[in-house]
Amino acid sequence: MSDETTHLPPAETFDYKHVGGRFIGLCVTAIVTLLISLVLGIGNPQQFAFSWLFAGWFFVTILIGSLFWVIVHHATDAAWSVGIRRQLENISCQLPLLALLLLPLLFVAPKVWTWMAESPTHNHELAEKAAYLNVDFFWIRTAVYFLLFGIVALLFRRNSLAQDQDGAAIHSIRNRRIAFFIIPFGAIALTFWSFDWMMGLNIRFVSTIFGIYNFAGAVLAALCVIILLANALRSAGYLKRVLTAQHNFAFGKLLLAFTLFWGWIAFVQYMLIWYANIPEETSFYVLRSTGSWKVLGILLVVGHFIIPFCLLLFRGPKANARFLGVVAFWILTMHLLDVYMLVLPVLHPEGFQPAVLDVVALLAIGSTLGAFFLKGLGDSPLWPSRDPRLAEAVNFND
Amino acid sequence: MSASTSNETVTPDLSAIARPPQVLNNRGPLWVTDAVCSIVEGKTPLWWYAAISISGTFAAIGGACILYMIITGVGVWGSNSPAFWAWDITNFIFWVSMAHAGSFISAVLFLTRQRWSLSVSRAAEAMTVFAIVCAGVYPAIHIGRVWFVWFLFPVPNNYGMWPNFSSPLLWDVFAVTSYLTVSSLFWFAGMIPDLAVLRDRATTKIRKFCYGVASLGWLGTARQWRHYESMYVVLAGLTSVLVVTVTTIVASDCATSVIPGWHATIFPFYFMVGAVYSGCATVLTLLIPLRALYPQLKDLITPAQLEKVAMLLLMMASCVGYVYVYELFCAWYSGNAFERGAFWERFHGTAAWYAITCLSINLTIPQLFWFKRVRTCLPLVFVLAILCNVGMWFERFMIVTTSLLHDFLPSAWGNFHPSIVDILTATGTLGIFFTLFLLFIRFVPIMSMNELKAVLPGTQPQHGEGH
Amino acid sequence: MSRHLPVAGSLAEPLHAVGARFDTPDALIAAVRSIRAAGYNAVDCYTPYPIHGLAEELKAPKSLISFLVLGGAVTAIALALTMQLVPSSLIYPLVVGGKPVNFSGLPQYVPITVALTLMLGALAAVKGMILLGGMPRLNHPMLAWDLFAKDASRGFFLAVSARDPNFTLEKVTELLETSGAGDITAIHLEPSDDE
Repeated sequence: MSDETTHLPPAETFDYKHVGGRFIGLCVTAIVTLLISLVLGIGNPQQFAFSWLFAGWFFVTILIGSLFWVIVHHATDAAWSVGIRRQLENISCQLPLLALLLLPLLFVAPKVWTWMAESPTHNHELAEKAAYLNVDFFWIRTAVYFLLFGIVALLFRRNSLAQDQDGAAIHSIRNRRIAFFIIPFGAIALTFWSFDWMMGLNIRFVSTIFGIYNFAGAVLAALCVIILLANALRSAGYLKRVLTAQHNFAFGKLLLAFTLFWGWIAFVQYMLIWYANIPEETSFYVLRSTGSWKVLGILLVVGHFIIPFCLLLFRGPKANARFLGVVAFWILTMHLLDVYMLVLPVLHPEGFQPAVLDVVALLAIGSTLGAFFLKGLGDSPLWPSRDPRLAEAVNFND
Repeated sequence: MSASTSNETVTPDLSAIARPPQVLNNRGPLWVTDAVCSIVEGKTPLWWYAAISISGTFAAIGGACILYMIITGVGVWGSNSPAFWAWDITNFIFWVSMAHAGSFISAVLFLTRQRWSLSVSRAAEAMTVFAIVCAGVYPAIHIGRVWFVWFLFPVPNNYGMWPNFSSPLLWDVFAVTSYLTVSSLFWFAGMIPDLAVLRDRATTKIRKFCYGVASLGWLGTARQWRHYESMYVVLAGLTSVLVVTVTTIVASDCATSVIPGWHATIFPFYFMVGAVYSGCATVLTLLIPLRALYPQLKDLITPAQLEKVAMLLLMMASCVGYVYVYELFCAWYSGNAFERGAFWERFHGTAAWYAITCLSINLTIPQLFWFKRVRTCLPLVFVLAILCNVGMWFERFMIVTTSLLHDFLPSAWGNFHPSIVDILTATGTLGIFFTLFLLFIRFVPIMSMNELKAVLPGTQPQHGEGH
Repeated sequence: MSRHLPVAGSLAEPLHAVGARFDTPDALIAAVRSIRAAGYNAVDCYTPYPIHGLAEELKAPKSLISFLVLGGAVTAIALALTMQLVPSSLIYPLVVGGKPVNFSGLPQYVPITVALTLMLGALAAVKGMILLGGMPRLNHPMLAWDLFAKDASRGFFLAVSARDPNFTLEKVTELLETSGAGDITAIHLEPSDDE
């Protein structure tokens, strides 16, 4: 054991000279796009509401997905993921900021969740569900989601930082306990969250698998982000000792596994609804396979499942970080399309209708999160430098 | 920010999170070979004869019931309006689901490099194959006129008639066929090097011949190992995907319909997690007594590994709990009177005790495994695991049959009572399962010796030495 | 020197190989290195479990099994779709629940296609492993060597084939001795009408 610890790579801390200009660029983009969306949003609040929800949910899935990988790391007592865990913690700790960025939804909510504007006394369907679908309870739930996940993300990171100081095993054990605690609650919270925000766009539609569908996308998206981030950090000269080709194999394998998982869930949801042909349910897919939406729907099937599946099938290329980066970027784009297809068809049932606000909202939320992420990147070592499993992680052999 | 992480700092005590050893008491590879082979090579213990005569009797009674059913007709079963699917489909799903855990443990955990699963994977795979055999008893006979079973296959015939490929019941045929084929291949292929060990150690000519033929002339050359390892990874990947496919198809039997309680998009996931849950329970049920009966296994199947199985069981049982929550929630949220009615009736109607038994077991018993003291007390784990399987049987029954008792037409509501033939056929499948498992532990290595030896400390070359 | 070598098989038959036994995988790998460095290529190792890096030392070709599986899987997709679509949409169209019976009803044809793809893929994998590994066979010249036949699960064995163009018994024996091998044996073929 002591023999291994002497070979541990020394901790690295991020140096801002690698991003100086780009950091400023991100800040400027954030401010400019936030202002543009404010202006455009006043002009067309409905489009703003949908675009903001689309962009917001995209980043929610990434942040929650990152938190999921932290949880998996601790719950399974894994070693291979030690090298990327700090970055996963950094990403998931953006949740409070994301909550802040999504505040505008408070003001435009009835434009996007139209049931909020209706009264149960006039809408029979809403009356049946009013015990759950009412405005107060909705916002309480939303607050609970952010609080639950936000607090847990911060706790994970705090224990992890404390371990950087003393290397004690107790921090690992504490984090493992938090992970076990959050698994049941987190599963329930994420499911209700996706019911509230995504399924609630059409309150007639019910699908029991819907929470898991969103979960699958979130996990995959976060994996893509962490692969891209690991590549970026490695090309800047960091993390080279703790992330090797062996870790690339693991990344590639997980990408394949979760591509299959997403494909499975997406297929069974579609197939069972298509097969049973119950009007309340099929309306969801009818909308998304009418007119130009159908093209995007097919692109989703091909791009989100078939292409990545074929690319990741063989083991050889998975060692190559650049190859993985390209696949990860592609899947992330497809996840963006997936979220787009969940949200925007409700606004434009007649067909695909791109809006400036879609892009602007994405840039506004994304660049703000990115700027804050970069700002906090140097505050801690780039990986948990005294994690007891670090030696195992460095010598990981897939 | 500048957290100093130099090596001068005191190394903290990390014993609390030390990894448990793969094999206890520092047993070496030679000991492992002797211990595993001794089960097959030693004298047949008395309890084995006793056990196989009991299970064989049950299997024979089950066989007689099937024969009686074929001669007389399906009327000898309790299945009747409105529950046309009852014990036959329930047991089919129960067994085929149980099989999934074996594939999951040996394939998915192999691919995710969970080494603890190596010790239990062979037995789990055997459980898979035998459970599929038990499941396979039902599909052919439940069609009533078993001599027409060829209708299920796309055989060009004089009637110019073809099967309905869009029916999930036909998907079942292909699912079970390919699942039995692939899991047997996975099980057998993994066993080839170990059978060769038994061949080499064989003392009688008959044994040498049998194991020689079964091991296909395996010598363990570097080239063979290279192909073998490559095949094993591919097969593990295929098996993992196949498990999900089979579970989806079996779930589609119910979920493609519009019957309240059957139609839910979560069903494939529901069946998958329930399957692994019940299979983990079966693995524990089988391995804990086995470990007690063969003391040499105590160092090989360690309490830490059984604890991991128990944790996997807990994880899957919690997923099952998740599904219960969302099935009920979505039934209410749908606002659909029939959906709501079906679930209300499930807990209040004449057949409520099935659902109540199912939920009260599946939501509570596995949750006891949160406590380390429960997980590590093997006799208790054994009892709880049996209870979990009882709970899962009730879950399958609740899904398949009680949903049928209460659908759209109040005039068609009814109840179900199993006949004695139903019950004896079901115990017959249990008999088949245990008979096959007993034969398995007697005649083939119950543990993957080659995989186990390859990961023991000191059995691999020290890298960097000769460079 | 060869006079002193223990002999397996029948001396009347030609020499098959020189075998040796090692106690550790490290010793085996070191021996493989020195023997290959001396220019012998027809070397094979027999181990009770897979040894990391051994196939690389022996310059064994990469396994092509994954391509066989791909072939099996692609064949299965084509077969399964034909098997379902031809009867369902051409020979015996059976419309149930208003579902399209042709290609646009694809979701209903996916489950069988996937199941068959995986089955044929698995069959290809196992068949490939058996055939590429030179199996099945009922006997092997190496099994004439009693020590190997009884103890293959215990030691790490190496055999230099007599068919190697550079093969000389003395040279190989010397190399094996210097690399610390035990039980160096000259393995002759057995008479073909044995038993």
